[in-house]
Amino acid sequence: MTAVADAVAVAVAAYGLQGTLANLPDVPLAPGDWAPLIERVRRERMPGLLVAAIADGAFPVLPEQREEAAEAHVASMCKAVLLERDLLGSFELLASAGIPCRVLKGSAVAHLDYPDPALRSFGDLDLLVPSEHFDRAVELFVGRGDHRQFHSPRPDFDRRFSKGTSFITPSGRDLDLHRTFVSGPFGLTVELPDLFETASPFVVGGETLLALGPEERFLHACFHAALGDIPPRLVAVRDVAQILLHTPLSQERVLEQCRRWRAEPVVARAVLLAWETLRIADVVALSVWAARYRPDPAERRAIRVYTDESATYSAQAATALWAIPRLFDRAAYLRALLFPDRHYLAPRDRGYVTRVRRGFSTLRQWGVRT
Amino acid sequence: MTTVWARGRGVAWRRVSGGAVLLPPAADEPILVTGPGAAVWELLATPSDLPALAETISTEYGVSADRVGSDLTPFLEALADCAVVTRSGDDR
Repeated sequence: MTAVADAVAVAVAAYGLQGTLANLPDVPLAPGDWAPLIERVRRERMPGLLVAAIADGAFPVLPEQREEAAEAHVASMCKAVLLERDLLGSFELLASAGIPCRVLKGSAVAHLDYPDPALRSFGDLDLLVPSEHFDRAVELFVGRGDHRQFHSPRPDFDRRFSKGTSFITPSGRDLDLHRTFVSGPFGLTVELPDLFETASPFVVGGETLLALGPEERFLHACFHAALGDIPPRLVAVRDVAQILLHTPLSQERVLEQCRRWRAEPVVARAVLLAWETLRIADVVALSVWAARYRPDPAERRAIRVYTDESATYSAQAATALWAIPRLFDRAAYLRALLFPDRHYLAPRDRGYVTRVRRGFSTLRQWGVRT
Repeated sequence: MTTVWARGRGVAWRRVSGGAVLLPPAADEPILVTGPGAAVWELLATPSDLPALAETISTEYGVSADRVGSDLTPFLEALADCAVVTRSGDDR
């Protein structure tokens, strides 16, 4: 990336947002800046925002650049509609078995939070089901012919402790089945029944699907932006600002939920990331709160297991112990991590000895006495 | 009896520059409709008959309604063949 391409990528990510100071260039980019920009726009799933900025005359481009942007957008929209067909089938599969379901991220946010779903690209499908239906949902997808990518360390581990699991659908697309938002400590403190108390309906191909309610959708966007990729994807950061600034929601309810979920440091980090990255000058109650929020040492440690470049899944798993309230459950959690089933181990560690050594070393690293 | 055209169920779609990407329910690949074709797809957000569609497109593109009507019929038939649109009250 060039410095110019970096700055323009941020301005593209912020395009159309209320109160942003990120400016698009007023002359076409030189080829040496355009090439890394269009590559990043594709990778960060922003062709819709780029095409909108060009069409509105906010970003002057050369004819061949306009064509390249349009091609990138058509390609990303082809992928979106193919994913949405799988989404319709997957939602119907769960509904026909009586399993409540909420569509997360990509398609739901595109339809509900952006003025036109064509502005938001996405690369996979994410569905949330209640923990008590998780195992049955897995059976249904496996029965349909989906390939499960990772097995559970113990038969009941995913249903009780994990973020969820991933499949490749029969048509070759990625489907993530969630029971909570993220792995590790912050995934375990989400009050999961809250996620099914409300719903936002949206329509795909004439069929009505259900997403999380607006406050929960915003909170999930915060989890994804603050704890997901390192560094955070621009589109994830844009989602946080997009929902907060453009979707009617109760900021009081957001704060009340995130306190109950012990997720204040997550939400504060996500809102600050959005405001700083996208150079948003407008102030709302949550951006003021986020700027004032000071995480305590334990919260800072918990955030670091997601955001340090050297952070590992094992570190997240070990830190999650503090979030499991009952001793009995902690024991089950530890037993599953230290002595998982053989089919879980095969692709990861050579056997129990390596696993145990690494497990104990990780626990010591995070100050857990064993 | 007038034939009324409507969008097919289960057709995921998106607007793109100068057109729309539509995914027929049983197809492996989406199709791209552009220009007046995309305008017809937008109009079909509300089920409509051929004369009404032709009149709107005729006004928008400055072409006679008769000419639009004769172009529209094979276009809609082709979309119906892949279940992107449906017809009801068929009078053929």
